[in-house]
Amino acid sequence: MSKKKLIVKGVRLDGRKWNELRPIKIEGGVLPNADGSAYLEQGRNRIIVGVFGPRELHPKHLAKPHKAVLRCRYHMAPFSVDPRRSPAPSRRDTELSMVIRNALEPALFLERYPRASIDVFVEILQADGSTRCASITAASVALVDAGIPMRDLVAACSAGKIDSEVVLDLNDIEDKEGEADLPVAYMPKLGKVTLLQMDGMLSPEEFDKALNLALEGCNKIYELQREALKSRYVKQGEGRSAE
Amino acid sequence: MQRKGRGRLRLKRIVLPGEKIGVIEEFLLGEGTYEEEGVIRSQVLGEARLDLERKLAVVRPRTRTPIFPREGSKVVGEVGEVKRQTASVDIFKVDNRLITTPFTGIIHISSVSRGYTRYMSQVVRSGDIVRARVINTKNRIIQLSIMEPEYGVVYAFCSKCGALLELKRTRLSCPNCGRVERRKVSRLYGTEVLE
Repeated sequence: MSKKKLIVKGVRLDGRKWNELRPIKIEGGVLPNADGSAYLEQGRNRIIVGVFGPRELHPKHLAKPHKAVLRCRYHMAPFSVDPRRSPAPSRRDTELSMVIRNALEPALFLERYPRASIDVFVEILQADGSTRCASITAASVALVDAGIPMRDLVAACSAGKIDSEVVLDLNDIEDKEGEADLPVAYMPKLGKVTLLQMDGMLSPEEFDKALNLALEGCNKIYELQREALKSRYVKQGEGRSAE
Repeated sequence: MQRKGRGRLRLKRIVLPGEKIGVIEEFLLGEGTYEEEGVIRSQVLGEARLDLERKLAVVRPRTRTPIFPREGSKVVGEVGEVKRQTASVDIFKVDNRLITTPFTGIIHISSVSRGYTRYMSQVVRSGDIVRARVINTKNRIIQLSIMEPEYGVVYAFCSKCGALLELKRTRLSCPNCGRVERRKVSRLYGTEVLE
């Protein structure tokens, strides 16, 4: 088998160690026309998220009399991958939209806005693996930016298995060539998992290791989300004070 | 007499959604907080304030706050279809804040005035701008009232030539064609700022 090695002398193809995240940059409030927004870079991923609402839901028969409806749209730009991808929503896009919605919903107080809708638009400008996790991370920053009441932020991160080793935060090649991928979304302050998927095969021991690794990754990403929000809304040197 | 000297002691700190503020034994739940398993946490990004005298925990948001019409909200909107007993309103302003995607409300003939109104078209016309109060949100549509003097039409247009009508004492007259029309006029006719 002429498969390319993904880990050479303990170092991954992009130079990371097994438990290292890709470089991440998060910025809140990048779209003036949206109620809330965020931009995220994770390795070569580039994602922009716009949040609208709570607003009147159309068509009205979809509205729920006791709570708001969370609608998510995950979409990859035609130029986000090589070769060019059709801009029409694919089956994968539809499923990821659902996955993102399910991962965010437990964090929201939807019952505060009966009959309304909260719309989350996720646009993948450039894709390089684990985009569902990166989308959830960015979307939760955008939701806070929109001032929508939340139980906690949702941070998401993937772990997986490549060249028989459990590693953190898979990129595109590692996801495609590797043996397993385990995306996890997590509410760090409440200690609750809102998304757990697995693609490929892991032994029970490997699964435990990968899950714990992904949760650690989520905690690190949470700190970055926090930094991003604080740099937008908190003045320098402002913290705890007594009035 | 200890209380007098201490005044209102408050602690202030920036919190994110989910961050712990205290426990329910210590404080009452105020705006922007919620409780889970006995722990008081924040719902929003803002300043957590602990009022030690009133034993109240609140979070004052730093972000934008969602605009959502509730019972009692003062709203401004454009009148759409006027039927015999109802008029629909596209609400674009809620509690003095403009919104981009309108909410739809409805005025029923019974909440127009204390007296008898035969037809809705005697009190509002399509295209008018009305100021109203939300009286109910529990049914399919937001129900509005223009009963009180400060509510009612704030801008009306001539049904013949389309010009903005002028309020002269109790009558609305068209400066263009001289036509006189009737509405349920708000005390604030012509003063509402729309942008």
